[in-house]
Amino acid sequence: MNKTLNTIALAAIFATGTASCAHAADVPATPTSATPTNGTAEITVDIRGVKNAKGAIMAALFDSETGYKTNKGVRASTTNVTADTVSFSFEHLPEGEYAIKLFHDVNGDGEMNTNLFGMPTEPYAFSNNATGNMGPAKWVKAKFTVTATGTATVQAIRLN
Amino acid sequence: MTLDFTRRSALHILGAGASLGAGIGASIGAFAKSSTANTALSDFESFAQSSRKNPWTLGWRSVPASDMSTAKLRVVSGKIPTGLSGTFYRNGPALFERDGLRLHHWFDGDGMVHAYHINADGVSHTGRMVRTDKYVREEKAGRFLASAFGTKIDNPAPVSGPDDFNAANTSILPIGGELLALWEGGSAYRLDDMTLETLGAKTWGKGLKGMPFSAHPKVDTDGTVWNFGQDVFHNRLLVYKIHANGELAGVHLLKNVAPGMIHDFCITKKHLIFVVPSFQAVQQSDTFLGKFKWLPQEGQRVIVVEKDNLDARREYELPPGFQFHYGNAWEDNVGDIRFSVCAGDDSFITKGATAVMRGEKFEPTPTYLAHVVLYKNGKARVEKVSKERAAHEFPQFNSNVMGENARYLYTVGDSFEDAPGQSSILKHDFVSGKITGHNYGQATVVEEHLFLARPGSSREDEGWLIGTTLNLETQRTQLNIIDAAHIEDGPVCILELPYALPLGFHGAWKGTA
Ligand SMILES: [Fe+2]
Repeated sequence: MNKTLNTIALAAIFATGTASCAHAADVPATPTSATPTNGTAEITVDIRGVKNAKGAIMAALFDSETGYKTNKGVRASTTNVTADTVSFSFEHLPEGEYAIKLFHDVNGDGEMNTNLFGMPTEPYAFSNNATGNMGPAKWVKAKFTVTATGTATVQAIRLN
Repeated sequence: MTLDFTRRSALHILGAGASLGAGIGASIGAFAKSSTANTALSDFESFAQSSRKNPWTLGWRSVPASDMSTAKLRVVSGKIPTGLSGTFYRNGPALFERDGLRLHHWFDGDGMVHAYHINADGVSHTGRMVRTDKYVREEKAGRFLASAFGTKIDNPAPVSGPDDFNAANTSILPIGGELLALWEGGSAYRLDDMTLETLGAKTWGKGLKGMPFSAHPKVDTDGTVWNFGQDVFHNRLLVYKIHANGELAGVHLLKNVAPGMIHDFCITKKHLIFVVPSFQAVQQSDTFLGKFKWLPQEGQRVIVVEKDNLDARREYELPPGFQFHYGNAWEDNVGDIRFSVCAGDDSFITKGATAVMRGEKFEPTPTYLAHVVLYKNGKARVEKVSKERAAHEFPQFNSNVMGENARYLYTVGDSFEDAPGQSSILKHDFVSGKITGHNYGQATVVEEHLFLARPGSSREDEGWLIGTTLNLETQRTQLNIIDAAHIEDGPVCILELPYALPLGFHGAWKGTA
């Protein structure tokens, strides 16, 4: 089951090289000019490696490096977790470059929990399974191109 | 990344520099004469070559099995003293090689915890690798996956936090019915205190999952445990206060703590003392250790906070230095604070601890024992206590005088001339100024010895020193018990394992209730 949230509390998953500021990714609920819904492209996200079959996967979709860096997403998705795999889709997208940040909200509090030093304490991942060095993966590593071919672009992501 | 990681003991202040004991090292087997690093060889090849000719390399070989046990240790001499009953735990890096790769830095070895159960009938031994997340994943993968403290791994697996490379290899803390395997940069790992089975990472409370919990917690005389976790990348340090029953009393964040590597700290009756060494995380690197730089121009900064008000803070300047370990600390009626330290520089952590992994000789600056005085008026002074029997490490004292003006301090000392390691256990009497001790001989490497007060004791040195040694001739690890009041008589009991264990770091004692 997919549902779009007004704001998804996607932590910034570490500032460069460290764990520090966790801030929410702002994702508009109602499509605006920045979030067109009239495209024909589609992204399917298949997540494996879920350790706890509870809570939800919260994901945010970005269509630019600036948006990715500043956590201004174009779509968000919350999917309840009931098994060790989870799938959801972003539909009606224009062609272009995208990247995804997601985390497993294990305790269902709607936030990416961090410890006192700001390190995430819930599993997270990026598109392309991109990794950062104890921080968020860079846009260039996480971005992928989506074309409107009629088949969904699949992102198979393994949770850390 | 965050926090600190691991580092630990500078045991084995290798090399000569300061050896005493005539002829020490002579029979240890000469080092390869060409002791300059042959960088054409990998760490693996270099160590393999060296281990064929240098008996001392035994201390840095991977442990032969992940789980070991001996029902009854052979008694080599003497008998177990009446009244000594409990478990002696130890921890240390024990696995150094996977898939043809040898770790570059000693402190990266995966931790193995040992339990010596002791009573009048004899001593048993159990040793188990700590099943950290790192160890489990790397066992499965058949190779090292994480660039950890001082080793860069090619094609590393993603690292989301320090616990992904937590080696749980530094010390051990029995508390509240739990046994914790300690590292420095991440969580403590919970173990079953009898079977040593790994139960998982310890979370002390809300917001504390994955927080660093250092390897030198201080147990106050009322059982309260103090510890810290450092984040050198954000100049901060978290103080933990834990009740004797193992429940968290509280945590407190100290800010504006310069990014010098803090391994240990001290406590007085009223204060916590953190020394920030001149070895600071100021540069980029693939490894945690590589981010640190020796900055002698920086000096050292001492931060003193009150136990009852952790915001009440004062600071002092000390000459440049880096050290792993401190002895006891106390404050007098005037308010001056004194503590002892096994002082030195960064040469062991940056060079010595990688040389041993390659089986190469390196002579770090020998550590020396010093007293530091922090005057109420803000001035500070360092007094060298002893120079001649240098290479002091692994300071220990009677825990009944924690935070008081202790008379005695026990250290390992006396470096071998031609090999890493030390041969003596020493007793420093700060009243008479005398140093006495026992030299285990030219082929025996001494590890940390704990002081165990005799139940009902009144004199400060009334008790036993208990510690392991590695006998390079018999290729066996020995367990030694010494009457601390008569240290120069040597062990009153020596027991022997049927195998050699790699040299470890720190231990703890849990007496039979
Ligand atoms: Fe240590």
